[in-house]
Amino acid sequence: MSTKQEYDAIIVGTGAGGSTMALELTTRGMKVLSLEYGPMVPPHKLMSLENFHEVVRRVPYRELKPWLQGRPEPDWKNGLYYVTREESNFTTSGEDWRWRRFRLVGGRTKFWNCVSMRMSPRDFRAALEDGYGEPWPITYEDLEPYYDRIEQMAGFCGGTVNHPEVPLGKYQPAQPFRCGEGIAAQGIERLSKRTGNPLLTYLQTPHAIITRELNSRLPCHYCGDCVAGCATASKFDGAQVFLPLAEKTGRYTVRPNSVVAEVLVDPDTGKARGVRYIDRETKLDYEVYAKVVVMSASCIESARILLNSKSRQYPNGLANSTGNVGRHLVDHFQCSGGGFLPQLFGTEVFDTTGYGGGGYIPRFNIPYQKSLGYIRGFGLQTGSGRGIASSLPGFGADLKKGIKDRFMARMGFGCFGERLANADTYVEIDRSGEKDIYGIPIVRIHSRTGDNERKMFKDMQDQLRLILESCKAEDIRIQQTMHPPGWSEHESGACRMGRDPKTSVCNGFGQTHEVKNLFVADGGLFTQSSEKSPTVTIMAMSLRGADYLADQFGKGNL
Amino acid sequence: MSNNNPVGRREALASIIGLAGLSAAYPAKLQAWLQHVHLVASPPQAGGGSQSSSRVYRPLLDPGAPKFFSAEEMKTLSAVVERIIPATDTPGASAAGVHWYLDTVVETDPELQTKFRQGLTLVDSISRQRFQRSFSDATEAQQVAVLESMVPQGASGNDFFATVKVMTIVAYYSSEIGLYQELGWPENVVKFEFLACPHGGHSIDDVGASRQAAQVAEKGLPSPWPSPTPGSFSGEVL
Repeated sequence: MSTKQEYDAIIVGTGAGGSTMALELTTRGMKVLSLEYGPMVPPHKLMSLENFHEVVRRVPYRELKPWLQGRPEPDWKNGLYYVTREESNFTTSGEDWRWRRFRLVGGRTKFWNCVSMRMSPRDFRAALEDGYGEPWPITYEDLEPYYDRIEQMAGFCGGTVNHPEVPLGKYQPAQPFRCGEGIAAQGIERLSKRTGNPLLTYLQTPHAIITRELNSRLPCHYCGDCVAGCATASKFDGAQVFLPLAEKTGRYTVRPNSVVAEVLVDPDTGKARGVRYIDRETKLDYEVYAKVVVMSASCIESARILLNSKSRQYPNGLANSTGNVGRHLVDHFQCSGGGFLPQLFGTEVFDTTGYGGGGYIPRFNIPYQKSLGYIRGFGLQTGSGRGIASSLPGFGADLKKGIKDRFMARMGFGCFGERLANADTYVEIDRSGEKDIYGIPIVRIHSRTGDNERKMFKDMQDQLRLILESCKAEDIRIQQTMHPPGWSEHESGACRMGRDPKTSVCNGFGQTHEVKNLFVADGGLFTQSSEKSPTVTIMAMSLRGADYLADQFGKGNL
Repeated sequence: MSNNNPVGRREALASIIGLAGLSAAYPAKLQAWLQHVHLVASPPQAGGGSQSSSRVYRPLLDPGAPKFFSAEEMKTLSAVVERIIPATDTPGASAAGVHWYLDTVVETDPELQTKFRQGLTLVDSISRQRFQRSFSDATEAQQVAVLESMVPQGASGNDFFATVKVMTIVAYYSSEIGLYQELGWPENVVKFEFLACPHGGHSIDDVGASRQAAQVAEKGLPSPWPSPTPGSFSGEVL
């Protein structure tokens, strides 16, 4: 089946990259269709303040068990993310890469934590400084105006400090520090003095959340469950903030429940001419056409679609004649540590939830990391508030009192570190030829953790202990083993940008080297991931790509 | 409450925890929405829910009949979890239904089934050996003695005890009795302004001082946000 109507652009996916792209292109006068794998979900269906005792009643116990035993990723979240088990579309080799798929209009921005620091000038120079991997084709200065714009369009809050590793953005005032974060700030200041490391600082974490009214959006009401979706759209999510504005232009259509199988190619020109998709409900096949195609389906899914887009001209998949699609895949890796602050034992109980963590410790390993023999860095997201001291010794009334005393005294730190791309970590179409329930070939995600990551992980553990001890925390617990890759949900790099078509898929605007009317606008673009949470950079790069795309489209160059 | 007068922390807390403080700034429609999506029950009084709230605290689970354990094992398990978190001025793990919850979890896991079955048998046999009666019939002090024998590293049953202890803690403090009645958690609620630290800051060296009642700075409410316009709510269903 096919539709006669032709669009200026088709965007595959409606997450951070896709919704930004949709808004900019429609604003610039283009007629746009977005195809989204998942359903359109009204915000009240997302809302959840379920406490554990409510979840217990709702969820099969088999699925709760991993949660209870402290393992990551309860299976019940898969239901929340709007994919079913039957829709499984990947397998893994090497390490067990976790690919969490978020399938609904708005994509991962529905469930993200909103942590949004910019990448620094140094991050864009990383490969030039240490010689590892491909250099970025763009600089911080190229992206800076788009960071400025996206932060003001989407509504961000943050601190007032311009740290060399975390450039100051255009922010509304951030949520102030909680009790424990105020103590952590002192502990970190002391540690900075003691170790003579001025980079070790404690900033307010930038979040894509508004704390003041913006464009008729209400400010945050601090209910404390951002990850379940925001009823008032105070937290940025593509579906509630950008897509309604795109719709207002009268040039925008979004089609939910549309599973894109491949990008179609014009055999005469070699250019993209549309996509083939399957209606998720009727299972019927459709083709839809456009002058430009943008892949914003998330890092791994975009690579999958391109690799599945095989034709006579492109036997290895689209934009993949040099074999770079699916390569250079990375994710962040984490190391968490926490403890209880004796300064707060016995503090009266009140609702400390807000929008998650309050403080960020930017990368500070630059002065000493050479001696430890690893490159790149990590930053720490932190937060304080309620916590259950389940590892206290003993049992009985003393244990009960100990837990109660410590209930408001929890302080937690989570390191996010950069993984280096390696030859053993990549996505390919599974060679078994297995297909998903829509008849689309599944992918195999290969992964291997390297020595650099292990050395950095060890440093994370050491630094966590120093920081927690400097805060005088008790009952310190530090993560002992690394999570499997993919766990941080910060995957990037499978369609990376670069100057050289032999080693990269896209140019600095996200335009593929091979097919000039095919763009990528998601995490796949990252040449080097840095340790920063990727979303704001995805949005800024998508906005820059959209700016260029609309420009070139207007000039008839695509 | 007048904005000109300094507001005591307790009052400030009350107005933040309740929805009352929102009425001026939030349109009625939005307020109803937030109440619908956010508040499972009316929030307990400020300053800890246990004494002043008329709230009914349900046990975590009480299906009436065990799924995996025998009736005898359930009696033993109930006593074990109650010793780990006993009733004090608030109910303990048994009243919170923790043993019923463990039954439903263990039922799905062969590994846990073996561990629990052997562990409960061991608990009972230690009790019979030392006190000539079953664990569930033993006195509290005798039960404590039995469990204490399992605490040291390498002691017989140490692994079982560590598992049942952590699971009891997780379950108890996830229950309404544990979370609301014992800990006094006021529920996650809509807040007019983020409270952050109502104590006016803490010194990192003040270890132990706040074990007594904290001296709390008198603090007025921060200035409110500009009122949103009636059409400003962006949700699509009400």
